[in-house]
Amino acid sequence: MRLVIIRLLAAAMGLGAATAHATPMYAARSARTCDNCHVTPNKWVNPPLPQRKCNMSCQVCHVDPTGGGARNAAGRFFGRSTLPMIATSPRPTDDWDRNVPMIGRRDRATTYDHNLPRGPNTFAAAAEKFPEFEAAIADGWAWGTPGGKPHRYGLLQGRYERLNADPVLRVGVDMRLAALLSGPLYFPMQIDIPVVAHPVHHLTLLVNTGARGRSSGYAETFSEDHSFYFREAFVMVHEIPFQAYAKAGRFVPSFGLRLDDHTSHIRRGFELDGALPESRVSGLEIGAMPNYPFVNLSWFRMTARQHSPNRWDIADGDDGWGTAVNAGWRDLSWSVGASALFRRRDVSDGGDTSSYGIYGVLNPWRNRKQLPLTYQAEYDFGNLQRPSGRRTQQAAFYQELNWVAYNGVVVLLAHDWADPDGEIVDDEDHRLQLGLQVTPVAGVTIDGRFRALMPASGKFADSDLFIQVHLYR
Amino acid sequence: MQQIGRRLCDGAARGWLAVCLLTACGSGDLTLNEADPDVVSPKPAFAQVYPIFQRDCTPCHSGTDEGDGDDDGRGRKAARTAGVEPGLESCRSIVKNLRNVEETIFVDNDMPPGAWPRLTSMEKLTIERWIAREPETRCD
Repeated sequence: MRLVIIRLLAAAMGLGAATAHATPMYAARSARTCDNCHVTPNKWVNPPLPQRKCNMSCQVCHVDPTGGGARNAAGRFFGRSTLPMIATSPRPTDDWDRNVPMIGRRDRATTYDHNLPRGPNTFAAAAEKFPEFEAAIADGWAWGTPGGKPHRYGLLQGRYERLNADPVLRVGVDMRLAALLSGPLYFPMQIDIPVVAHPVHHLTLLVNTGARGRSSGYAETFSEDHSFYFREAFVMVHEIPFQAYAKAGRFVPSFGLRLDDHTSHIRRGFELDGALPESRVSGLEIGAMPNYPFVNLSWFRMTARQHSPNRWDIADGDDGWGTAVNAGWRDLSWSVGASALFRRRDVSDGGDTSSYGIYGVLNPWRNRKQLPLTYQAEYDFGNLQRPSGRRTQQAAFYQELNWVAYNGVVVLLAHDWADPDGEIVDDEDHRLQLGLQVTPVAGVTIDGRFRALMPASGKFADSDLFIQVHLYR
Repeated sequence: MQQIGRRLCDGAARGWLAVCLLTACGSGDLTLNEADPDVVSPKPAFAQVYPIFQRDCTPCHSGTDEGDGDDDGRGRKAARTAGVEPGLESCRSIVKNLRNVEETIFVDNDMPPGAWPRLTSMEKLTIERWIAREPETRCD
């Protein structure tokens, strides 16, 4: 019996395929020091506001301006210098004394090693020394530079140590494996293979092919054999003033915090489950992040509720249309935002929904070095149509607290709640999580969590314990 | 759990605003059947029930459990190595294990397991009405 329960738990977690992206927590934490996203050359000169690429928004570290998936050079640098216990890019000066005892003691020596290229402090310096910086690149996952020269709105070679800052072609991989500590099951959760082509400045094509797993492997999920599919596929015009962009293709609408826990009610209950193909829409999105405000606005078409679009046809989705806006202010130690999302469909295709969200992040660590805490919360509400055509309300809440105990060691507390139908009794639940995230080296994170679900009816509570191994490049 | 939750929520309603914000208590006092009886077909076909099992059950309960030698048409036997018994990938398999299914969904409310979200009110009502059909028509 116990074995059956263990297998059930483990296999259920196989459905918990998290999407491949960092959390807004990383962005919130990163504001405390500059040299966790790039090297900081002497005599740094802030560029004019329209040219600034450093802020707390997602596009600082991700190719997709609304976050998730393939990381750019800044995101990869952050993953090598700041996230792990043992850094392979220069450790931020603020973190030199935060190593786990006896581990990563050589990190300090790597900072500003005279053998490493020191980053340019202005665009003029980047252009002048471009051949030198380009010659120093040692990057097995990115190749070339568009046009063979830097662009003032692009990432500059030399600023990310030996990583290729602005490649013509970038390939990545993102895989999650799950296991139950006391159980016999090890199984795949999710795999993503993003390919990013950037043939000329201002133009990028991103294709992310992915699959989610289950206990028997990367197999079919819903009503069709459905393993690999285009999770994201879009063409984007960017590298223009104020970090503005426009993209067209398949994506998940920008709404609220971009959590990597797609099972959270604030994502799943609003048709934004990042692991599911039916959360994908086809449309156009524009946005800008002029440090510190940000705004993303999208218009899209979609399939019926709980219906997957065609795996490879990114224009598939003729069952309705929608629009979403996500805007706010992301400051150095705090951020606030608000979102709205409207879907218009026939009742037989899922009906209309109107969803609204408010959220915020607090990072006291920036002002108090002895307080390495980060907190984020989001409250979503709105109305939807039941299949009968009758309208009802829904609401969900999520909050999470991170404590960065050491470099590469994070203790996590999370709570989420939902009332999926405001008229119905006993349909809400609370879920609590206590987790430990360990990143020993760049590209490897081990995430262990004890989770407890407390539904309003039935048993008092149910819990599980699982370990997720996240491998990414 | 119900009593504790309601006590928390009642407390919140009396002025424990902070508690209410942190625990975000729910509302509603009707069953879905009372609130919106037309939300689900009075006699749902198996085609309406099957997607629920596909989403929430068969990822673990893969294969079928109709009897020795049966499979799901794709050569998969009832008890697959990586799956969990019983297999629930066919109508006959579900009907054969109906008592367990009912108890799990409507009494214990403990599946999907662990901290995985439970079935929604509408999913439960759909299954409840499908079970209430004449047994011989359930798999039509």
